[in-house]
Amino acid sequence: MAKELLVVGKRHPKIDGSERVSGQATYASDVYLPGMLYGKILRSPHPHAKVVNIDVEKAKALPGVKAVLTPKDIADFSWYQAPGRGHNDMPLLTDIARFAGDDVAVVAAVDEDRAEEALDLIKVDYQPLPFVLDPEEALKPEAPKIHPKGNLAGEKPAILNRGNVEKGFQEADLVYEGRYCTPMLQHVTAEPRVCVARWNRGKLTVWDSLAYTFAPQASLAHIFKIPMSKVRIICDFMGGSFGDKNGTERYHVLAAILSMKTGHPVRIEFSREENFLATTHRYPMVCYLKYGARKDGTLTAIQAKVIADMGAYCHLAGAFGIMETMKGVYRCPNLKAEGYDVYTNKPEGGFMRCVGHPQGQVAQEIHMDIMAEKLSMDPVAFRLKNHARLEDGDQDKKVPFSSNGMEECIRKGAEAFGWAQKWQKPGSSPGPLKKGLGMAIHSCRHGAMVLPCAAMVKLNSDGTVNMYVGVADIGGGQKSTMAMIAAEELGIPLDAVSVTAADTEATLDSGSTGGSKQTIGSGTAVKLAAADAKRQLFEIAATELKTGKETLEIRGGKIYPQGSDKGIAMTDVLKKAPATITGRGTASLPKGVVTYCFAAHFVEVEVDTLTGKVRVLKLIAAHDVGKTINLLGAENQVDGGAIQGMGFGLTENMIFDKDTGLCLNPNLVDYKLFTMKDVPEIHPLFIEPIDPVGPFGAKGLGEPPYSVPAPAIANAVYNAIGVRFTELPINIRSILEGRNKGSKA
Amino acid sequence: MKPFDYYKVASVAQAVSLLSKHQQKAAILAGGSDLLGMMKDRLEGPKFKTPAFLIDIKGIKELNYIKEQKNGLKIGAGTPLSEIVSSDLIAKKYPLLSQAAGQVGVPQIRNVGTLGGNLCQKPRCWYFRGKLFPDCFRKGGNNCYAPGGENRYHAVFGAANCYKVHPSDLAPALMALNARVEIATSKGNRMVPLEKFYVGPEKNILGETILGPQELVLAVEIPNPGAASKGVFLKLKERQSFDFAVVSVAVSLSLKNNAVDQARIAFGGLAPFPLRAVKAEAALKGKGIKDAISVVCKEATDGAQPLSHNSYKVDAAKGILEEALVSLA
Repeated sequence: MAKELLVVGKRHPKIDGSERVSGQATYASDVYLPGMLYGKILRSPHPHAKVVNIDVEKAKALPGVKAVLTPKDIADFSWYQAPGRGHNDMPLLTDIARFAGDDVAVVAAVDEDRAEEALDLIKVDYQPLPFVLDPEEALKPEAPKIHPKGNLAGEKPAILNRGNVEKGFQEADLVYEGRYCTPMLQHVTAEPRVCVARWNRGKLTVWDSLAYTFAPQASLAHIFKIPMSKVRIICDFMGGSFGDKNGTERYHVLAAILSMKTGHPVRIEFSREENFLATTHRYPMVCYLKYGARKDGTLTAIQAKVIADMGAYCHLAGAFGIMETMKGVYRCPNLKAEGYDVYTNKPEGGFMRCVGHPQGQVAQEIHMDIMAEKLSMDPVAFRLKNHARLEDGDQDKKVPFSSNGMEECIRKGAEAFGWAQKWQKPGSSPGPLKKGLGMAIHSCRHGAMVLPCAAMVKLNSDGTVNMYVGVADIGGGQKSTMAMIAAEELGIPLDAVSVTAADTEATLDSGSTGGSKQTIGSGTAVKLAAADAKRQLFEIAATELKTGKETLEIRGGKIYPQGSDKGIAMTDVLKKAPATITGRGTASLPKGVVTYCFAAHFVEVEVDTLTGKVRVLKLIAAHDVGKTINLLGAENQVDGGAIQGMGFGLTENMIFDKDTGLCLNPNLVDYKLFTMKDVPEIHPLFIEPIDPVGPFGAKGLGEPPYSVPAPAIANAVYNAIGVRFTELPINIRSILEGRNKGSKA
Repeated sequence: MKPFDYYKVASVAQAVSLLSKHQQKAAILAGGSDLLGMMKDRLEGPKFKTPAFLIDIKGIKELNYIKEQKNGLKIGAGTPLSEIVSSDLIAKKYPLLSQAAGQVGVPQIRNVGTLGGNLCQKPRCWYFRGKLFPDCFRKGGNNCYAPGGENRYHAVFGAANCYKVHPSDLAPALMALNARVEIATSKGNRMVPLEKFYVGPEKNILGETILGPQELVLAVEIPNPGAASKGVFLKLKERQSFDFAVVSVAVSLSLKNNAVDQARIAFGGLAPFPLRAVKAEAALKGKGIKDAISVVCKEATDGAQPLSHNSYKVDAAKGILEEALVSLA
């Protein structure tokens, strides 16, 4: 039954857009409470050092300073065991600094300047220890040990095995090996990490900029030994997450402890520099690939060794995240991959838009491009030959995809780009300004990572709807998406829906806004909650209209039997309801299928071989998103993700000084984010197979746009100048040095 | 930010008198886009202290002007960069100066940033700007971290121990235009050629200019362009906005009978000061532009002394000069 959709699939500005741009939205960084103190964290200036002694007397004596805490002052709090957080290797405050920026002490003072001055007055005796920055060096036996059990987090590598790679290589006509490296990147959320904690009569409230408020609710209750009902975390508006600000971190706990000890609300807000030095990052990768293929292009074996540079602390399977792309983007019967999560004396690696996939795809998609050329195949044809098909799904568990638009992404993207017409032999562009074209594909299981999600709707007597969802709107338009789904299901206008999100006291735990999963997860829960409310409305309406409830539908705020123009106003039905109508919905992971997002990007670049400057001229971004919920929001997601992805390819890189282990560019001047002037034409192209899992057939989109541009650009640069780059970013220096050296590939 | 005393002055005399009184402890506040950032960063070194006194000169109206005079143009030091960008007079007479001003930072920075501030800005070297590198020469320490460290953006000319580069876009442009700087001192005003205004680390390890602690830049004077003259400013940067030059070049030349009569070429981003390419100028003189390009580019970077990671800057300088010359040919 193809019912016409009235709200879903259209372009809608964010429902809270005007609040955001007019400054009326209250972000956590806007929360200033009476009597509030400012917390500041003392950070290690050494990449690796033992804290021998901390003298806080002078800091404590400074007027306006209300508390100074060192590791021994917080030893009683059971931080390691707390639920809702991942680190088992990171102390709350540390007496061994493992990266420059590690939390050593914390102060609370009446204003920010006083807090900074207090930090200056804390005298710490450090005993510097040998440090290691390079992950391959860190794996050597002689490397300085960063944690007692050595520098391999988890003590053993992650292994993937399918079929028999040796057999696969024997069947291959071409076996190609390559090494690929990606740098450390920062999320650079517009709003840095910030929270305001307040204790009031035994209850802890935290205003936070957080993609998952239920995590600290659980952690803080455990740490302070109070019931979860006494902890409330609120994130109404948030200035970006991109994977950071996604769970309980040290600063949440420190702000709450400081507030408890001082009796004042305490705010901890990271400076931009702290946000570079002491949050999570896209972890650098070193990756060795060896792939085999037959003459006709069929892949016969995929072998990978992945080294994920996880920094000083490790709370996720970093290398595994990278290996997921080798595991699933292409169909291949033989796979062997080993992944190493390695400690180094650098800021910690973490979740960042598409986790390890962008790194993995840089390796895999450049590798595939090289193999296509060696096989004398068109890169598009080579992808079409090998991409995982609908029936392939999870090739290890033998579970098919719920839908798969990859072939259409590649074909329609190539057509829109004019690939066949534009194709040129690599390096054949004449003159000093050389144009080139490149492509890359990506698929990821993010859409399938649906945790149990729950939502509630309440129908007001005037026919408007309040909706309560646990999903945090991290800036990606999640509130708008949820409102559109509810409006569509209930047959009411979008502006009749009001959304309360991510307040632990008013909404239900639906997991973090990460993994591109909330459109499917919370979106399904919202649709079911709306359907539940509608069912109750129809029961009453059926009695009033003396008809069967199965025949009813809502149009423009009135309930009609199908095909009839004699209806009853929703408000009249609501008057007959014995109590306020509320609807509930819960969603969980379906069995028997895996839901993936698919994408293919095509870029044209111009390389100035005189100056080394690379410009991206055009990007066609074809994405299988299932049914688009908010077309405008989806376009924004593609634009934003692609812009970040291009920065990954060309400009962004956290740079560390080898002699001191210090980060040299923790600021927005020297860490070179793409600016609007760098952004080319971006043409999103949506492939919309109706997916059986998500609401109205929708899938996820938040992350995949990030994963594709960088390798596509690397391939386009090769096509332009005939020099292969296997290390990012490809900046002015890379081009000029590469030009002088010539191609190595 | 550390506390400081703030003076809002209405005249140059008042500013100079306060500078004379507080000497090194004082700083001039104009746009503040560089100064306030460093103060917020609490950046200090043995001889680089957060100023205890700020002298705000934004209220001195007679520092903000662009005026044509008999022998050229005079621009007040307090003139916002955005006004230089939007001046029709400058666009017509000295297009390369418009181009240079238009490439500074972003519109917000050009709205607050001034000509004087742009010429007097501090180096962007990340060791100088890094709080945890106090021993840097530029801050009064005893070390330069660049030669053994991450030096991809550092100097390839004129370093003398300290490998900073001068970050100004206007300085090479004005140098190519043969500009002079007017300086207020406690003993009256003096005028110096821009090339003399800037000094290398061998002369002043703690600064980039000859300005004394009680001195203040008042204006820049640019002579009239010669007959049949043209110029261009090009800036190579990692991204198209909000970035300092990897290398920039300003070329100003006049032609006679299709050959170059006079030429001035200056680079930004290559040396601790805006770098005039005298040998390249000589190689250009008397020749057709196109015929001279390869030899001029070679001469321009002759004698470069790159560090471990920045020899590409020599290539980049050649490349951008070639593009500048091609655009003028």
